[in-house]
Amino acid sequence: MAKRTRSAALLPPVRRNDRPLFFVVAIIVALACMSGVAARAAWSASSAWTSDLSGAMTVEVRPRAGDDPSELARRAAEAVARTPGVAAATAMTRAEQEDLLAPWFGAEGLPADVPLPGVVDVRLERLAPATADEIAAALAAAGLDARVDDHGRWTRDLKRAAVAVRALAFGALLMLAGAAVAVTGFATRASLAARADVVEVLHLVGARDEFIAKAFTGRFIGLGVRAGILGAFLAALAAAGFWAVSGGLAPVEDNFLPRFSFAPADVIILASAPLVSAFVAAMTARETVLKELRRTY
Amino acid sequence: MVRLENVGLRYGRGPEILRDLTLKLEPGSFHFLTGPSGAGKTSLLRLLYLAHPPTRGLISLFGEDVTGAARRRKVDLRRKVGVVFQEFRLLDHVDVFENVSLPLRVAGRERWEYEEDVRELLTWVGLGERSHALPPTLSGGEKQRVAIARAVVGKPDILLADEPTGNVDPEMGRRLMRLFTELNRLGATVLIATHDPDLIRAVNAPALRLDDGQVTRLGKAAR
Repeated sequence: MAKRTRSAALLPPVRRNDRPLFFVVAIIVALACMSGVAARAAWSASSAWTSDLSGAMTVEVRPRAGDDPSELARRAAEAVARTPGVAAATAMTRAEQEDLLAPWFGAEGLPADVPLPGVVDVRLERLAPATADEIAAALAAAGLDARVDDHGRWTRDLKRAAVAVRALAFGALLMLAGAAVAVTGFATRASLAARADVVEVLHLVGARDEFIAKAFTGRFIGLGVRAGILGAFLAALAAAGFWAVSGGLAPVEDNFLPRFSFAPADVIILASAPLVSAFVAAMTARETVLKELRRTY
Repeated sequence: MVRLENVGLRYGRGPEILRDLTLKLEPGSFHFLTGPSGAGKTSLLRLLYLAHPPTRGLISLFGEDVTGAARRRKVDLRRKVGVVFQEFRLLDHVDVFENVSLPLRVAGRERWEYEEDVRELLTWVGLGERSHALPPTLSGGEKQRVAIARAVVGKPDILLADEPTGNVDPEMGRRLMRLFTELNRLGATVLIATHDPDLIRAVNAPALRLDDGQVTRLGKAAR
């Protein structure tokens, strides 16, 4: 007589009934991954923007009649560069200013008689940056009438937008997790009802609730892993499609909007999806089975 | 070992199936439970294997009040009770070996610990060559023997059987009864519900008659 070393599964396989649940969970995981990746991308972009803006200031020197703006800018740059906490201060030439204005006034540049202020691009020390007041004081001490822009209005708006995007993504993830729990709980109860005869026999021959729940949990872990892998794959496909459509292969240019790009965090989000999905499915199934057993027996 | 005091049982809002039932089974005793169909024999057994709580009264197993016992404790007690269900209640998707070893498996025993014992038991009940068969392919008598083997495999302290020989031929019936009497000889308390007077006559044991929700103790001579 042939001997077997492994015991058979205590629950009968009903894969056909589990299939709709599998696809629903896979879709939920795909949506969760996409919202996670989108949140990460938005957060990275806003961090890069705020980092650029908060590490720099712009000084505008107002010329009086007869003053040469370029000369005023050069003097201002020298005064600012001596200020502690300033890494570099560069006076912008008229040509450089016209380049910056090109998107609004065209490549032809401004008419020669249109006056431009003297502008200084200031880069701050990363660890102990100078404040706008300190730079303004240095400019005043040099006898210059200048305005210092610390980009505060932009950085505040960007930070607010980044927080909003993160809250939105987190809310979406919470709702998707809630949907996953609800659908898994519903499926577990259906599964439990379909196998009520088996569960009753297990109960009557002395199985503890945890033993019965484990039989269901094992099945839902498998389902969660498989659905998680498919969901992560679908999300990766969608992200790759978006990346290609948004010009991911084109050379990088200085656009106002950030370019979508893959980051190591995205790999972590996608790779952890099957694990998280399995964990949520298993915990939901376990708690549902335990609750139903306590209610029924 | 088994004690019931003024036990009443009704399902939902239905009539009372068992009324003021008082009964005591001594440790190591062997009793038959007789009575007409619908008298409540199966319901009484359900109370004893803790499948249903009584509507009123007290049930005590092994000197312990089980009516208010905690859920985990009830499982501990249930593991000491072997049950042969009238409708067998086998798991159709696992084979005979798995069905018989189920009580050991759910109790956390490893397969290597019980495999030889289960195969020996299967041989004893005449199913040695059918251990890989699935229940839907078995005859009624074979299913009954699987159900009996499952009930006794854990060497329970109490054995409850509901019409355990109804589907087997007389020779196999006697063989299965020897299994019960052997278990009883080893100390188990046995209660067998049956309509079969031949079975009762074949074993020198007292009978309890359940009629109209109440139990009457019959002497051996009254069988």
